[in-house]
Amino acid sequence: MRKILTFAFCLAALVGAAPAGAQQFRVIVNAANPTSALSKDDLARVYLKKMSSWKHGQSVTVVDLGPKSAVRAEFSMEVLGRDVPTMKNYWQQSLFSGRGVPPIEQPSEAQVVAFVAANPGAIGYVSSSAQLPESVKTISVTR
Amino acid sequence: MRSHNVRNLAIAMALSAATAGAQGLTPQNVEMHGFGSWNSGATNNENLYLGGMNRGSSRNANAGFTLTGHMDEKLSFTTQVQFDFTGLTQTSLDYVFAQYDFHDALKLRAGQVKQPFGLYTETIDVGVIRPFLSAPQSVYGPTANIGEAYRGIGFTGNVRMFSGMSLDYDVYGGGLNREEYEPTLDAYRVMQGRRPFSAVSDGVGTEITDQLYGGRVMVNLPFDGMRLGASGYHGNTNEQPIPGRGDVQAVIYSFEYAANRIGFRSEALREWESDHDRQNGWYYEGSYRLFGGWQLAGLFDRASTHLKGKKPGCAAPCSDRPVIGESLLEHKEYAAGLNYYFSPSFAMKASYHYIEGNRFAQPSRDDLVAQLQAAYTSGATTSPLPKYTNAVLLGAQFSF
Repeated sequence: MRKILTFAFCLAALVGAAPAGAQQFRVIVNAANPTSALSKDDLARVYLKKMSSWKHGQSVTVVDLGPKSAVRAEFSMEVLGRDVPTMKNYWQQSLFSGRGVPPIEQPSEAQVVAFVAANPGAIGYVSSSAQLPESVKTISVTR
Repeated sequence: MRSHNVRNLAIAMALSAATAGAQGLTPQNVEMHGFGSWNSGATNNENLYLGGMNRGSSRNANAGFTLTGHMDEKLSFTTQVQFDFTGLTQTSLDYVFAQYDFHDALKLRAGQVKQPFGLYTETIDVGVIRPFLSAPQSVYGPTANIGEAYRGIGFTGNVRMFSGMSLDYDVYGGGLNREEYEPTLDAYRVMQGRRPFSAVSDGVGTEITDQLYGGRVMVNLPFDGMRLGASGYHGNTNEQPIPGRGDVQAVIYSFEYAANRIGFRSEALREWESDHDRQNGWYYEGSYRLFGGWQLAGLFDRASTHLKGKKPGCAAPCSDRPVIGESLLEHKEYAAGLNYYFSPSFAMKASYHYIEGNRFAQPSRDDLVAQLQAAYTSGATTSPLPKYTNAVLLGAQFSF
């Protein structure tokens, strides 16, 4: 068992050693949400549905882009540390073990923005260049 | 768990319908998902393995549906119904339970709930999420190590730890049905003089376990996709009305790393039944995603079983460890697989398996009994069973 763990830790260290490029996405919430920043760890917990409410008590509603989105691919690697197919597998395990359903998927950034604008507890992400209405705001992601 | 009739399906549907009707569930807060699997297999001798047989077989297929209804932010109901098309179609109610979320760290579950035991028990029927068509037999084979679902009450949750780690836990109590198909152990006991050949079982049996309590802890390590943990349970099969007899307990240690192209899992199991046997199983299972949807997979799987000695007073040819039956207790397997994922939800899988021992690769029950009986009565000193088996499996698995 010790050999397995050593091997796996080395493997993970190698995989995790890839340099990160400039962030091409921004995280958005409803403008009425008092939250202005989230740590990367909290953001990951929110997207893994292990943190289901905001600090002010409101329930979190998580929204993802579609599985073929390049922005989702980057978000998944940067925040969750796993690529989209691995996360699909993660959610299938969760779903069929009765532990939780995956985040809602929206096919376009415009629809993600509209969803967040319409749901006070929602959180989503869009590309850095996406146009945002006043009903949606960007929050910063800290280390 | 198989009910052999559609009563459970009717109950599940009725529960779902009643829940929806009485409490106001709408299509917007009900989700339906499903899964399916089919596989064909062939072996190079008379031994059967994972549905493969000497002249080939395409009998193995199953499908299931999961319904989850969210009453509100705290309360949800989940039901899963499964159909097994191997032979006569059988329907089973895998689980139906209610969950109330007090907090992310404390959720109450009650009903017939998936047993949190090891990495694969909760999703044992959903093949598309693992690299091989079947889960490793040493732990998840038909030996009553796992129960699939407990009937009772449990608590689950996730607790944040330090350094980016978190802990998923489950504790539960109630009852459990454990399925087993054990003609090999029965045959071995015949060799020990503990029972007649006519008592060698045919078909899947259910071991009802009560006075159950158990739990699981999984620590999510700072490396994304890596977790380590242990699960265990204790119960009583009530097979023996003597205090201390009929106790069963099992513990399993699990490790998983699943991130991006690499998947690696290893588990080690020990299961005790106080009145007769002890089973050990462990495996390494790895996978690597190549270009496109191609995936390579490898497995080393090992199981051994220890039974108590011959019946007291039993004369020769009874033996504590009958030579002609030794292979019935052993399983060692090497397997390699090649999969193609059209998407994460649909895969075609092919695998080659080399198996030593007859614990899980054995002839049909009648052939097994006939061969062992002939060897036993003639005083043979070597096993008549083919100890080495090559098997090839091909199948498709999906979910939605």
